[in-house]
Amino acid sequence: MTVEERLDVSCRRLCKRFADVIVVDDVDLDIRSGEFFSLLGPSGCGKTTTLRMLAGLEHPSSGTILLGGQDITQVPAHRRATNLVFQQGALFPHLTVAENVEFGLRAERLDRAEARKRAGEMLELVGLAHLRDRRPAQLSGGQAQRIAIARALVKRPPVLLLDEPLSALDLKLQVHMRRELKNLQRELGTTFVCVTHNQTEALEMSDRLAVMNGGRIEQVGTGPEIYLRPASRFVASFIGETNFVEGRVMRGTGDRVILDAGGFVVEARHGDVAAEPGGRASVMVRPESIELHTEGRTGPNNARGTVADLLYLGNTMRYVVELDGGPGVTVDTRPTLRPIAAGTPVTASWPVDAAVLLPAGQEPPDDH
Amino acid sequence: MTTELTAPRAAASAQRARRRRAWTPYALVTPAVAYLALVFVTAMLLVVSYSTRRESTAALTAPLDLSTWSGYLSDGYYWGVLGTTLRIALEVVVLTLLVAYPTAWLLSRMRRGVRFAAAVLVLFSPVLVSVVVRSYGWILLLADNGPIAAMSPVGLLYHEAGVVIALIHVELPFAVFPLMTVMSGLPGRVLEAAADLGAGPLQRFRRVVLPLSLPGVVAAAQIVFALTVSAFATPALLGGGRVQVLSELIYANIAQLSWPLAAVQAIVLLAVSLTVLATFNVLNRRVEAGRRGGTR
Amino acid sequence: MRAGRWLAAVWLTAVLGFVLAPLVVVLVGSFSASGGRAFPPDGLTLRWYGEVFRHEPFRTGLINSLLVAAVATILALSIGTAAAYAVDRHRFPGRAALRALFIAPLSVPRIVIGFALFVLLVTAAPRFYGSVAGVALAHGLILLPFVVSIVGAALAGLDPALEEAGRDLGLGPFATFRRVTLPQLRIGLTTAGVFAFVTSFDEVDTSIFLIRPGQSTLPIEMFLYLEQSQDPTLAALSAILIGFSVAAVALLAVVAGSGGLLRALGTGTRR
Repeated sequence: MTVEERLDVSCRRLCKRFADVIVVDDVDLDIRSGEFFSLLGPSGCGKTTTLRMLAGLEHPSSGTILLGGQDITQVPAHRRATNLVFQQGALFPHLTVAENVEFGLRAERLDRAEARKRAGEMLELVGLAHLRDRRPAQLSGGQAQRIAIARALVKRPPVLLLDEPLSALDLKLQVHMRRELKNLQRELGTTFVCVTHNQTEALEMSDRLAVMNGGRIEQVGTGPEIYLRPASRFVASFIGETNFVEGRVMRGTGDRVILDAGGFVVEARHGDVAAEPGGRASVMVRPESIELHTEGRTGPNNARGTVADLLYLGNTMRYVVELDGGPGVTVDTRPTLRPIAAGTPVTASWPVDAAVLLPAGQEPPDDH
Repeated sequence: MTTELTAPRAAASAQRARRRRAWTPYALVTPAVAYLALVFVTAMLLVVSYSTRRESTAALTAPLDLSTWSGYLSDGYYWGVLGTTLRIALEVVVLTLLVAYPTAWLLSRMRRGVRFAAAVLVLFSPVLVSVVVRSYGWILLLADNGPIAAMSPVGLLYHEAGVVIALIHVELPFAVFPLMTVMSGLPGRVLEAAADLGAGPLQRFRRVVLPLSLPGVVAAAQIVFALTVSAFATPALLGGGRVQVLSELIYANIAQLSWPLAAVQAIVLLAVSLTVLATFNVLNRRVEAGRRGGTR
Repeated sequence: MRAGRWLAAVWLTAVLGFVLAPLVVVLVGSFSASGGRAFPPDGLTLRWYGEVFRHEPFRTGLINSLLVAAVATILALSIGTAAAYAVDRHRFPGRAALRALFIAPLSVPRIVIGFALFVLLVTAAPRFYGSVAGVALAHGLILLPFVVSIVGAALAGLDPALEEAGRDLGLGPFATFRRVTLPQLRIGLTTAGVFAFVTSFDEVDTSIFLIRPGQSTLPIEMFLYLEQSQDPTLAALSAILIGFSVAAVALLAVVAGSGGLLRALGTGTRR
């Protein structure tokens, strides 16, 4: 089957307040037609509320929502072309699988035979045609979620919204369903907007993603952009393991900046971040970008320290290194049979490209 | 100390404990079973026995006499009273549900706050107020010189309409409760899903809310019917003797020492009640079975 | 959307008004100066409250009602709790049938129970006819299913591992029940007890078959009074009883939380 049209979705200055709490704060988004877009963030960051406003289930306190360039802010949910896959499926318990999938078609007064035919095709597509007469109570979690996806997709929406579609499934099924969702999206070409708190899920499935925190968008970009060039301390720490090195800016040259981090000198990529000489700044380095050397080294991005602890994690060997006069850093290396013993003096080194300057003046993020 | 316990002694003690465990539940239910057997079952059997006699004073060993039964069943007046009883019950069930359904729906969708608590408390408070007090209130309200009678096209106090109004008041909490329970269990997500799939408010009601709340409707109708068909104080006080229902006849026949006739009527009332309960149980099982679609 | 919300508020207000109307009219009527049943009243007085206490049958009725309710509640609570515990905590042959038996009186109209008990007392124990014990014996039948259901529900919500822990720590079966189970059943037992007491105290349909003139319960005295006259003495008495009901609800709300009251009502609706 094919989709008649795919559309882009935009939000302009979207805000949502519940009583005195601002849940979504001035969100601007441009989701391109045909892309798999994810809203990623910790619980309570406003991502689900944003999605529900796109679906029409929540009314924005202010701002506009555009679908294919048309203002749909005031259009109620049942008149919107978008369709939503609910977190735990929200299948109708009193209807069979087939009746669930037909529901949306019957709501738009499609005749019964046609609705049945299209629902049948959709069930084939998700591979569950043999369950058509079951009730939702008789389905496994994975089956229920596939039916929920089929129920939404059968209406051929120009934009499919997904609210934590995989969170109720066990890990193994999640991994499998990620691939399946991505393939489905590629096959249909429909615009997918997916809300998740799971960074692995977002990175694996999305063409682009937005990281949200405290009701605001922190950064929008592709997976590698977000992972390798985080725009904020929050994004850097929310996605993957991160080391932060604090220091005083000595000078900036071209797209590089040099920092004094106490016992050592850091040379980092500038990015778009302004760094005044003499001001304080932080630099992010991913654990896997750092190498440990037992011989002494000098120059920028070489920091001396001592191995404080080592943890074997299967596919990586993780060292915790106390830098001389500086913070502790985490270092991930390929495991070896003869790891460096705790207490050994080492030099931690990383390439300039792996050190990313972050904007100053931000509170360190709390747990996530 | 346990180390001293030799194997045979341990086995014997374990056996004793097992035997005691086996008897414990029977010992615990004995008082309740004895009470129900001696009082409840005996009394019910006596009612059956009285219904097969001609006179209240006839000896227990008197021969079987079904003339009271045949007299009752062939008298049009008694059929009329049974008809009134069932008609009032039916009217009360329908009207109570019409009031209770939207009320339960609004309450189940209300945010749990002070206003919700106050509404629930007010709605359920009459349950703890004597039915005599409530009937008295309705007598004052519905009286011919009262505030409502002037506006009413039909007679209220000492008419069927008055009895029905007061009974709706008595049964309303019993109808709202099961409806609210079922509706509160109806996840908001399911309604949102229906809206998201293009169903407007009316379609959402007809195709999602109504079928999903059907078990509550059945339960509410069952309770209200069973309670109304056997109600005594309210019809007696608001009917003022002019509206006759089955339970009033039973009471009146005691006063007239026609115990066998009262026994027959009591059995008829019990049979009507049990039939209603059983019918609704079957209905309920249908509704539930339709929902679950058999076993997993 | 806004219109819908407005409509909802109007509907709820109307329904709550309907629910409160007869109670309010009684409260207002109890202060009415004119003896008749004129509404609204044409003057205020406390005279009728004095009349309540001067009316001898109300006084004896109140004492009898309290006695009946106390005896019936204790009877139902003691044998009902034991029965609920057996049925809920043990697996034994006949368990399902016994559970059905304990709930059975719930399906019998109260007026039929009243008549049946009347026949039983008159035939087998005439001494008890018209006595507090006789009425309490009948009320016990009505209360038993409530107690078994409410206490059973409370027991079902109890973790059996706690009792096992009690036994593992060296308590015998009775000590386990007394020191582990009973304290946790406090809310369930209080709910069942208050609900049973109020139900018995307000009972009309059964009691009316079992009383003798001059030796009656309060609701029956009120019922008989109401058949004769409708002067505001009854309104004053009703107002006092409504006050007690409010106190009982408050007590339940404090002890059990509002959930307990709803649960009790849920059992009540299973009739």
